[in-house]
Amino acid sequence: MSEQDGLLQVEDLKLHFRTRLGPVQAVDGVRFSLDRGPAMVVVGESGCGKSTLARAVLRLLPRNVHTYTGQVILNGTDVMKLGEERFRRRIRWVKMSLVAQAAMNSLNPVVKVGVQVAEPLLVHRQVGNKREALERAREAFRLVGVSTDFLERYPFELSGGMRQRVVLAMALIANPDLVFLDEPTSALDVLTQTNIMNVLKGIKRDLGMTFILITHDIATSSELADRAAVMYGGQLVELSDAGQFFTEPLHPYAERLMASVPTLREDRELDFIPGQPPSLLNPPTGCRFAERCPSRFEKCDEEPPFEDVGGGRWVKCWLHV
Amino acid sequence: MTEGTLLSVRNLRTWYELRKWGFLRAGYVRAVDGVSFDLGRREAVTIVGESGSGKTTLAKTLLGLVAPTDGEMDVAGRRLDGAKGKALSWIRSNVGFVQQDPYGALPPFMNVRRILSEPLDIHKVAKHEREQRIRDVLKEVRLIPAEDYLHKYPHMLSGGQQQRLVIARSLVLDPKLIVADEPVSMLDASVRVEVLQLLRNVQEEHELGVIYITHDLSTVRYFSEFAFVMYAAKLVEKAEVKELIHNPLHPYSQALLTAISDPDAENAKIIKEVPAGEPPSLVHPPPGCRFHPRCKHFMDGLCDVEEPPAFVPVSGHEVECWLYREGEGAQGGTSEESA
Repeated sequence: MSEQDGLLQVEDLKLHFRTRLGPVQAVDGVRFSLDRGPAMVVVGESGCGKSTLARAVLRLLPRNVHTYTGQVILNGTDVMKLGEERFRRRIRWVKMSLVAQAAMNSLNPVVKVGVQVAEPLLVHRQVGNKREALERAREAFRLVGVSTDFLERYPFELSGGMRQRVVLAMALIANPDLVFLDEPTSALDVLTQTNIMNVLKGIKRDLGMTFILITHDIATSSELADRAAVMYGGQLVELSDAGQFFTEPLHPYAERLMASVPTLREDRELDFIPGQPPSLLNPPTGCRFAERCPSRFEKCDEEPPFEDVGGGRWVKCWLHV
Repeated sequence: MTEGTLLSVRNLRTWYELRKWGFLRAGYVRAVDGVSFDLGRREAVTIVGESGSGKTTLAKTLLGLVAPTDGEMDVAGRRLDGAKGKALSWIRSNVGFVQQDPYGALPPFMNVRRILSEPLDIHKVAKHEREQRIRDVLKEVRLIPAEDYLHKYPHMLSGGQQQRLVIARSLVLDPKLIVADEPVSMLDASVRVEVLQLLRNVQEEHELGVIYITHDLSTVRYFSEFAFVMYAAKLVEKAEVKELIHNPLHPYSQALLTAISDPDAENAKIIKEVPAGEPPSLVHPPPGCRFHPRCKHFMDGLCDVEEPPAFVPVSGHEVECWLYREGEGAQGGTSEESA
């Protein structure tokens, strides 16, 4: 990948949590890079560490951190080296923001939504006064397709889809380079979901905003995806262009996962993956999917490298080395 | 009612009363408002609808958990609405329920054996039969060998196993009908298919009637032959699943089908045309057709005035929409043939 348009580069990122039973390796050695512009989706089953990955990059850590290492290079700067206060001032929400899971339910019930959306600008001193901040909030509302009359309303007066758009406006208002979307539509109805996906597509096209979409819903993820990453057991196992990924995934887990996605129009037999994902307390030393993998062989007892297999595709599997 | 009918529902209404200051009547939430359908023995039908469309209330009404305000329900020839005492107990043992959230539906302080024996205790199944019954249903949902599971508590099972236990519990009294309310929506994609296939196998083997309630149209064809589309407390379209997917007639069903994506990178390049807005309030539903404020085929003076009755433009395919009234040839509707 060329140096100029590289936006984010993550190298060997690890985030382990301390628990009574030992460290949980929620994110373990994740490595990827992303250019400015294309949207990346991260798909995986619950408990695979996809939400933790977003939190690790944004440094939104809980108290029980055991290990937190690696590099997060944003626009050429390793932001992991910054102190907490500088990271908060310069990076979080200004350069990278997050629409957290179920964020629409985390709006403050006693503050008008317009004020809540404008707040990051005041906190980060991007504007001089509240009036200017509200003016910017008005623009952000237009951007996400919420009537500006709603600025003066409280969260309970808005429907779920509207609240989700408000939360999106909040993530966009400081004009960040990168926005993480953690399951932004999973609690919404199908039509509302499609409307929000349309908004995201429009913003991506018109403003060139870069999104990382984290979801378990593969069919919906294809609405936004330019690049697709698959996570399993705390690690990325495949990273490909969306076109290649949806038609011909390489990693055996990605392949089985795609085969389990029900399709509306296409007539095909569905498959499921027997067994369960490994515990992240004591994950297997070799390939973490080996136990459930139909193409397992001796080599799988060793951990496969996450390597470029050509054509911009990265796979963590001995079959493709 | 014919011999092969298991469940017959006529003009069913379930309204929840809204109260003001605890005693004044402030109106009604019309959660189910005039629903009619038949379900044959050995038939599986899916009810598709978005949140707030009334599909869960319909399920609760069919289970006798909520009393209907009006209308008739018969299961295997027995009157269901207004059932009390013994009649209600008969319903409870003959209609099984598979809940949405398996973890919430299983009492955390009971082990698998107790969870499965409780319905048998309540319905006074002979003691010597109980153990065999429990082992049979565990085998049926493939929680085998039973010894490994009988002493376990719900938290010791994975999500998929918990949902299979819920299915086992719904089967333990050997019901005639199962109502499954979003049985797989809380599960991961890779497990979803497994649970749906299991439910399908059980349905075919025991010749059960199953009502599968879901918001996810893409799983429907893997499960049932028939599908009903529910919008704002009404069943607006009834058809065979294949017919519905390839030839949706109601503008709402058409929008719903457009909105559902199949995994395809091409999706990222197009902006889909879907109706804006939200489903209407069920306290004050719009007059006429309930979809008219969002409909692109809106006909002034008709759709907003009179409620559309069910038309049958294609045989076996019912739709409540004025576009398909007699003589109106719009939208592929061939009304002359079947009228």
